[in-house]
This record gives sequence, structure tokens and C-alpha cells, in this order.
Amino acid sequence: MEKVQKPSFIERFLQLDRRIIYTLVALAVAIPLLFPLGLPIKVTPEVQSVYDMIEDLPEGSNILMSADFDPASMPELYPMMKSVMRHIIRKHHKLAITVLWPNGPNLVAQCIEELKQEYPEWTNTVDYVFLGYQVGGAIVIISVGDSFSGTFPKDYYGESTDGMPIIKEFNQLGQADYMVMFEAGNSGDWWIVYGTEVHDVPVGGGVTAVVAPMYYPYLQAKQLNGIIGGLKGAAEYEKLTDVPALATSAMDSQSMVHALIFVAIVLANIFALMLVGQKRRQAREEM
Amino acid sequence: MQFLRKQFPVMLAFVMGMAMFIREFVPSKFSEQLYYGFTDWAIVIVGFSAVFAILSLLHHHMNKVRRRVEGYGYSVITILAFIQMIILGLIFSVRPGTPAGWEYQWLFVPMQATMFATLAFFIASAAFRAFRARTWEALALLLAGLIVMIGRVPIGEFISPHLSTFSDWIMNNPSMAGFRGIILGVALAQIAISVRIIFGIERTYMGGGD
Repeated sequence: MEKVQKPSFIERFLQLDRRIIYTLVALAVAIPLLFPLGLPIKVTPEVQSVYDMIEDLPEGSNILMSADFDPASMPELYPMMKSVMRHIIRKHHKLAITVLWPNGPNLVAQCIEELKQEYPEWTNTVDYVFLGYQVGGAIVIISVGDSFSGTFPKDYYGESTDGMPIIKEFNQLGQADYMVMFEAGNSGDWWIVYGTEVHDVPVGGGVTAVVAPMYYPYLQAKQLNGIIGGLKGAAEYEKLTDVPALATSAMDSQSMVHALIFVAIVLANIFALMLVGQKRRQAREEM
Repeated sequence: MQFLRKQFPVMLAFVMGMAMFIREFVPSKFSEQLYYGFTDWAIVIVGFSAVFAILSLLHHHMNKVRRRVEGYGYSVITILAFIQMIILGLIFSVRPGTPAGWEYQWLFVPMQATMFATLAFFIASAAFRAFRARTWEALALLLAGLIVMIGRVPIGEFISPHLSTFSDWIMNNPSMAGFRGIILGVALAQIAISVRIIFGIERTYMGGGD
């Protein structure tokens, strides 16, 4: 009877049960949340540019914000949106908010409610207007070049936008002094191409880490003045506004998971190479 | 009928396409009004297409239920969820604090976030099994991926500040160059397809059949 050869340690490692990997990932997420490591967060120039732009605008400037994401991207984009909105409130800028994704408006409403707890004096229709969702994607962007009140006859809360104090002064994309978009997809391209380039409005982007590389060409061409990329970008913005929150607390977990995947990939490659060497040696010996 | 089905859409696409194209070179009040008038129409048309999409979704799932296709129970759940959301939304609106808003916040948000969060586990497992440097190109990709992955989180900065510098260099140079190529390629393709539609060469948007 032929003797069955036991798999070597290398072979067993390379066929590691996926449940072990899942458990390690779960631990890498959970442990730093329970016992924060407090790793330093360095602010990158891309995030600093967005912050500086909002910081340096004269008080009461008009800012347009577009929240183009849904709950799937909420962990990354919600913390940065909240930080940026907080910064805008502190600087007493006027804010108009649009949404191009149908499942996004309630996230913005939630963010507004949370910030109103911190800043009760922040008044709807005077300091900000939440225009809600309008169907049409790129067409909506072209349309707000004409007027907000025409494209969004009613705001998210069902109030007529025509005649709102904020709309009297800020009723077109072209009247914005700055624009910030939060993007989980390619709607940011539309804002750059059909919106800010046409009306010559500087724009900064808060984007998920997955789509961030797509926006770097715009950054280098100065069509974007800055990028807040992924959860790390959100944590950087929290650091700049001096309000460490969701993103900062999640940074250690993200670091640990990245480190875990890094080590796993490196080990898997080293062991795979060793296995190839082992098999070659065996083949030579058999010859 | 044949005219409405075949020739009329092509004529319409040509007239509207050319009007929008010429408008770009005629800076006048009239051309601006025309432009924004058309975009208002477009919003209405897109709104109608959303209604068609909803009807199509319902039709698809009702067919599955009627034919008792395997897994038709999921279609029943989809239809019921859809109908109750429509009813609740129409009666109470969908804002936070309403029943539909409650469903959004406590069902939809956690479910979507969970779906997305599971990716972390699958990616970790898949990367461990599949991300191998079998060729020189794969090795280059692997190294770039590893450096960006570790260099863009605080632990990378903690290990060595050079990691984040190198990661930024990768993002700002090779990665950016690749994406710029993709963006330019897509833009050129969009121009080509627009010209083909305007001149009636590309007709697939009209659908098939007689």
C-alpha cells in the first residue's frame, strides 16, 4: 500500500482555512477599537488644501456641497462630511447641499440633525439649505448652473425654495465661492466637467479610498484643489478641526487590518516561493 | 408607425444633438435659455425612466413568483418590501422620524453597511490566496499595492515616514498616469459615440425588434 505523504507546514500554511483569516481580521478590527493604540495621524497636503480653502474664505461665503453616496460608503464618507460641515458652520459660511444618489438624502439629514445639537443657532433656510435629491445626475449639475430654486422647487423638508433668505443670495452654482463634493462613484467627474469648470468655481473632493486614484489626475491638473481620501482623509480632517470622532477612532483598526493583510500577502508569497523550490528539489532527486 | 419607430428618433437625435453642439459656439441669451430649457426636459425624461425601471423591476419579480422559479421567495420579499415602502413613503414621507425613515435608518443602512463590511473579510482571504508574484509584472503590482496599502495608514507612517512618501509618489505618478489614460480614453470614446448617435450611425439605443 502506497504511503500517503503528509502535507508539509508550508503547504498547510498556504491552504490556511479562510475562517482563521476571517477571525484574525475580526480581531484586528475589534481589539484596537477596545484598546486604542493612538497611532499618529499625519495630515497630507491634499486634505490640508481643502481645509485651508474653507478656512481662508471670508466669513459668510457661499459653499455648495454635494453628498453623492449611500449607506454602503457611509463609514468612510459620513465622518468627513460631518467634519467639513462642522468647519463650514464654525466659519459662518452659507451652505447649499444637494444629493445625486437616491439613497443619500437621509444620511445628510441625519448629519444636519447631529450638528444642530452642537450648533443650535445654525438656521435652516438662512445659514443652510438642504435641497435634497433630484433625479438626473449630470443634468442636475447643468441645471443648477441656472438656478437652485428651478432645479429644486422644494427643499428636502418640503418647503418652497423660492424666496428663502439663503436662496436670494445664493441661487446658482456660479455664485458659489467653493464647492465640496463627497463621492462614492464617478459623479465627481460630472461636477468637474459640467459644473465647476464651466462656472469657474474651485472644488475639493471627499472620496472613498477605492475611487480616490480616479481623482488624482484632476488634482494634478488643479481642477480639484484637494482630496480627502477615505477614512484616513476623514481622520486627517478631524485632526485639523480638532474634533477627533468616528474616523480617528477607526484609524487604529484600519491600520491593523492593513498590517495583517500586508503580513499575510508577504508570508504567502515567501512560502509559495519556498514550495516551488521544494518541488524543484524533489523533482531533481526523483530524476 | 415605422417612421415613428425608426426615422423619427434618429431625426430627433440629430436635431437635438446639433442644436446643443452649435449652442456652445453661440453665446446669447436665447441659446442659454434653450440650453437650460432642454435640461429641464431632460430631468423630466429621466424621471420617467425611473418609473419604467420600477415597473420593470416589479414585472421581473412578479414573473418569477407566477412561474414559481427557484428562489421565488426572495422575489415575494422584494415586492412586499417595495409596496410597503411606497405606501409608508406616500403617507408619512421618508424623512427621519417617519416609519419609512425608521426602516431606512435601522434596516437599510445596517444591511448595506454590513454587505460592504464583509468585503474586508473576503479581500483579506482572497489577497492571501491569489495575490502572488508569479511574473515580474505581478511582482511590480504586488510591491506597489503593498506600499500603498501600508503607506496610507498611520501604522505605515509609524514604521517609516519614507513609506508614506513613497506611497504618495506611487499615487501621484504611475497610478495617476494610468488613470489619466483611462479618463482620456473614456472621453474620446464618449465623443465618438456622440457623433455616431447624432449622425444616426449608432442606433442600438433604440432597442431591437420590429
